[in-house]
Amino acid sequence: MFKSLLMLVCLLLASITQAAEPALLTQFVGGRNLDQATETLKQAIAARNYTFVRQQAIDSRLVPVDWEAKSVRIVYFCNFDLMDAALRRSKLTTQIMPCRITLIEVDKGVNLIAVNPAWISEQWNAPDLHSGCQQLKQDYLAILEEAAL
Amino acid sequence: MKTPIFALALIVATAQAVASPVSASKAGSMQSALDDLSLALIDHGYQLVKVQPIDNALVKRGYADPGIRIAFVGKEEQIQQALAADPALLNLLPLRLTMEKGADGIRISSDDLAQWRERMPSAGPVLQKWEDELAAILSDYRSIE
Repeated sequence: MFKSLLMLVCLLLASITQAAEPALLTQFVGGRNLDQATETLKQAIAARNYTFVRQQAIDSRLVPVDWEAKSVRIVYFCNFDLMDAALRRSKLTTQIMPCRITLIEVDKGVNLIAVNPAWISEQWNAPDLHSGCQQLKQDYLAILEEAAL
Repeated sequence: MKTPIFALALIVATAQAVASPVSASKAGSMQSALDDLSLALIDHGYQLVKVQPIDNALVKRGYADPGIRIAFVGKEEQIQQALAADPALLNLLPLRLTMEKGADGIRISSDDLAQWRERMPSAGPVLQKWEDELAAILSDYRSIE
């Protein structure tokens, strides 16, 4: 009986802990347009020891170039050391590769949005991968914060 | 007394269970898999947006070959579908397929959208539609000879 209750409490606590992790990491960059925000984001990426991979419109190659969305852009980046280490541990980590931040231009600035890798890793049921994803989340937060300075 | 507690525990555990992404495997090289995937995509109105050759990128820099490439795929109307259901879904587009080289050939798998469905129930129908389309594409990929 006691074991059962303990098990139930543990499961509920685990559920509450997981629910606390946000799906998205966001940052608003005020007073800049999409091109300006992209440039500061690329600088922030380099400053955190990541490599810029490419940028594209959200609908790139889905519509003719002239019709591409001008207000939504994706920036991809990675750190090859981290990528190699992660893939050696588990191929599940491909789900968070390469790193990505979506930029959405709004009235008074640009919203930067990233999917939280620590949230994604919750579904893997692999505690040994979670600390690496927490670290990656911290890197995302640092990049987002620096891009907004 | 024990039974209801175990039943409740099972419900909680099931809610957190790992959902399976859509996947398909078959023999062949990475290039032939890409060719077949491209054909399957076209048949379903999808475009191959970009292939991220993680294998080549790592090997070029002196790392081991992980045998992994990421294919980004999509179609134009998915942007509108995402905006209508929940703009947060833009972060999933273009959709991703992981291509993994194994001993028996190439395994292609989608990201797991179940977690998104749980977090954003209102976007469930759109996510289910995308998942069904990816399942159909991968089924075709498997059957192309």
